[in-house]
Amino acid sequence: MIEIKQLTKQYGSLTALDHLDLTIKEGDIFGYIGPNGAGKTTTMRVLATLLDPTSGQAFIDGLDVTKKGNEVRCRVGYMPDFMGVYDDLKVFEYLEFFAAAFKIDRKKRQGIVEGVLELTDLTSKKHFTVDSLSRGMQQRLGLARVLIHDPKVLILDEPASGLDPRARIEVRELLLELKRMGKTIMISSHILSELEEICDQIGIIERGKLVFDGTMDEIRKHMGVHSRIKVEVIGDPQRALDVLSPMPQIGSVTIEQRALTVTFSDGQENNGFLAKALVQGGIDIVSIEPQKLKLDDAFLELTKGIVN
Amino acid sequence: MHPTMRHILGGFWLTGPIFDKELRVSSRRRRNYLLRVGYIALLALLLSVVWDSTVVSGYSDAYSVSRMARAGQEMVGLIVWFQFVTCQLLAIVMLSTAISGEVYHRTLGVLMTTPINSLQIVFGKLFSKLLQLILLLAISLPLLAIIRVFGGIPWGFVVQALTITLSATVFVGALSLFYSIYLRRSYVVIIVALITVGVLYLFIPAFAALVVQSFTNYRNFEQFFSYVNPFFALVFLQQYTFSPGSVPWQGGHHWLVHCGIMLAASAALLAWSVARVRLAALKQIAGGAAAAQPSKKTSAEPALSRPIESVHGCPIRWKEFRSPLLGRYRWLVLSMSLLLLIPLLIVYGYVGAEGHLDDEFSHMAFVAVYMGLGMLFTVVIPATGITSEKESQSWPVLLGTTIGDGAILMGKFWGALRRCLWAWVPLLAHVLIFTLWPGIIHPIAALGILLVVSGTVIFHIGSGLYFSTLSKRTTTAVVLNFILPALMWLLIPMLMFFATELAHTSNNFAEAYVDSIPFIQSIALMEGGVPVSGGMRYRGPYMKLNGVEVLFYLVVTTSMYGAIGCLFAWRAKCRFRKNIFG
Ligand SMILES: Nc1ncnc2c1ncn2[C@@H]1O[C@H](COP(=O)(O)OP(=O)(O)OP(=O)(O)O)[C@@H](O)[C@H]1O
Ligand SMILES: [Mg+2]
Repeated sequence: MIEIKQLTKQYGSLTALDHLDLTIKEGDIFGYIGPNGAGKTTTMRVLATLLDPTSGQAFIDGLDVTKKGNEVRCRVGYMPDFMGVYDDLKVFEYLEFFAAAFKIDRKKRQGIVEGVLELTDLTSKKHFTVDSLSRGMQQRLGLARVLIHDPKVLILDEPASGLDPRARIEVRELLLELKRMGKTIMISSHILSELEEICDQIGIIERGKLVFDGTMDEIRKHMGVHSRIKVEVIGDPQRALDVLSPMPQIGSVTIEQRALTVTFSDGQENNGFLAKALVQGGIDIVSIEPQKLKLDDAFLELTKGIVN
Repeated sequence: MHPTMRHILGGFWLTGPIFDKELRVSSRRRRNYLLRVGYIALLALLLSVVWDSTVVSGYSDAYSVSRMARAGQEMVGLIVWFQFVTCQLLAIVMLSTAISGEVYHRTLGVLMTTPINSLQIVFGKLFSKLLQLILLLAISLPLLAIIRVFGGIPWGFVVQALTITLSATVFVGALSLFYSIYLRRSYVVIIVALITVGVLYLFIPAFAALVVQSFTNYRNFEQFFSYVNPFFALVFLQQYTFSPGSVPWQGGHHWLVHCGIMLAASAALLAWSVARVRLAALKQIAGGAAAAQPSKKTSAEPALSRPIESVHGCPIRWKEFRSPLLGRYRWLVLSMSLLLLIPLLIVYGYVGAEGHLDDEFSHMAFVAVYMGLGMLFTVVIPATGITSEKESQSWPVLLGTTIGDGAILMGKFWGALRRCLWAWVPLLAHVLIFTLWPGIIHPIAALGILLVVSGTVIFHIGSGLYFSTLSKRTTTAVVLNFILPALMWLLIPMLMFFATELAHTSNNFAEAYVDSIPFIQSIALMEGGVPVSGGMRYRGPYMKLNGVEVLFYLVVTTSMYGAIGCLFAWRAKCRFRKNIFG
């Protein structure tokens, strides 16, 4: 659905995007992650036809974003990181204004606006002027605006910033709902753990280059630390270490206070043999706890935190 | 020395970090260097024109020596007036963003949380800009020194004129800064400050003179005004320096008193500003527009204040047309206009009582003033059209929709037209009334005015939208849209006359060009169309036309300006999508 080929964007001597290649499948939620200044916003602006790349191409639904501007805009809902609101319009008027801007038939507008207000939980605010909304509500209004013309592709630049925890969960539900409706969603965020649960695909960008691209499972595999297991035992953990370290399946064992952290040498999932080995070695187990690789860890490991 | 003493003596309490910041930023801006180059270039050009027209070679030595002295006086006069006008204009523009800029960038609230105090903010802003203006004054000093060699120019005059200019600059700068606390948009600050200066310098003296003259025999009110009005002060100074006999009273230290008065007035304005800055900051922290509009209507009872309107037609035009015409300050604007209407009616009454109502000169004067007013607003308003979208960060959102560039352009065009038309109401009302009043304005002249106005309006809107598309900030767009007519209608004609003078050829072409300037046309129309009994004879600098011929000529020039306006608008449309994020 979204295809980026060798995309490069330079601001003077600064290279914000450096021969970026990226493909997003139809119906996927793509999580776009990167440190500050990595080039996320720049990529999204190019996709939203608002910024001309220095070189390279980008396609949405097979349409070149630099050549087929209007067709692309029909298919894309773009929510910028900082969004302007007209301070003298009311919430309902604001949405209707954009409905009109998308050339939606006048008779249908009312219904559509009511619909997106409902979806974003803003119905009670429809008489308020836009600038009297709180930051989080303005953010929701931005989401509502993006949905107004029922685009196939949503490009959301940090949509969850400024939202309270409940609203974050609601946004997550909303995104999943939209995915069920068949939309392709590209979303950038700093709240990594949030993306982890809803994204089909993750892209990690740093200094204009994609350092990783794949599913969560692929990230885990890629990191070679597929399963990290925390084992707590009664008594001296050193004894458990002695039992476990000679075993061929074990990659490494380290001691942290009273607990051991075990990784496997091959990518296997099953940790049943651990308990058996320990019990046979006469060691009492308090708990065996598989640690999931969090996106935050992957993020920290894959990026070097160098600010562009 | 005690540290506090050193602080105070070192001027730190007046300037501080804000002053440093402003200087640092201004040295990074290319436009400040352009400004200096432009200033010197313009001054040099004007001087060479004066030089050329006063000093003509080929006469006897004795004659040319006295000519030299004469030229010297004229050139010094020119430099002094040039400085006087440009410094004040620049002070108004430079300080128009002083406080509103900080509010706009949401930095004023942050500044208030630091140990920087209001005094330092106000004076830091004022002094850093003044320093640049002083620099401009300084670069023309060598010129003054050279010209003094011609003789006949006392140093005292140069010093006094500079002091008057400087104190006037401080005053208008303080005025602009003062307005920038209350008004969010810097172009509004510029307009309001210009109007205030116009009223203070010209309207009040003229009106007072009129009133005083009609009731008493007192004829020396210029003397009074030369104390409180820098314009008069400079005229007066020039008179008693170069032709002492023409002034009935003695000069002496009068200029010092004048500068003292101006500085005291500035100090009062600044003191008031210092007191209000904190409030402005608090408003900004409390949330921009919501707090700036303390009416309870919007927040508490939003549902009752105004029903929701349905979008119809082109959405951009709909949005432009539903925002209130005069904005938040409509009551202020309305009451001010009504207040100005009273002296205006008195002026009309006076002109009528003196029997000048069917005199072409009174109509030329009225039309000139009203044209100026209309042009002022028509230059400013369209230039805000696109930059205001950029400044509120809604421009990318708008361009992300499928709305066509053409529709945006037309929407903005109609919006600008709607908002600047009311500035033409005085002119159109004047012309209409005196046309219907039989025997005063010839109907052809009235039609002509209508043509001239429509051409001007389309021209300014087109160029305004273009500059607005080019610029990031509204103020830049507004200034550019002022520079265009200044170039086209002031500088180019001047250059033309200068060139023909140099080449000793006929200046027919230059005159024909001047004839196409709307402002000149409107005045020539009045001259030729008042009173009706004289028939319609249009006597422009070049064009001599009778009757309906005028209309044909005006249709041609109007369509020319209309075409230029459309060309600009079209270029604007082509550039919409370039550099959206600055
Ligand atoms: N208009 C611009 N002019 C010059 N440089 C720019 C411009 N916009 C962005 N950049 C630079 O391009 C790089 C990428 O910026 P971008 O906004 O895409 O980062 P980002 O990944 O969105 O960061 P963040 O997480 O902070 O939003 C940055 O180094 C930034 O300084
Ligand atoms: Mg960003």
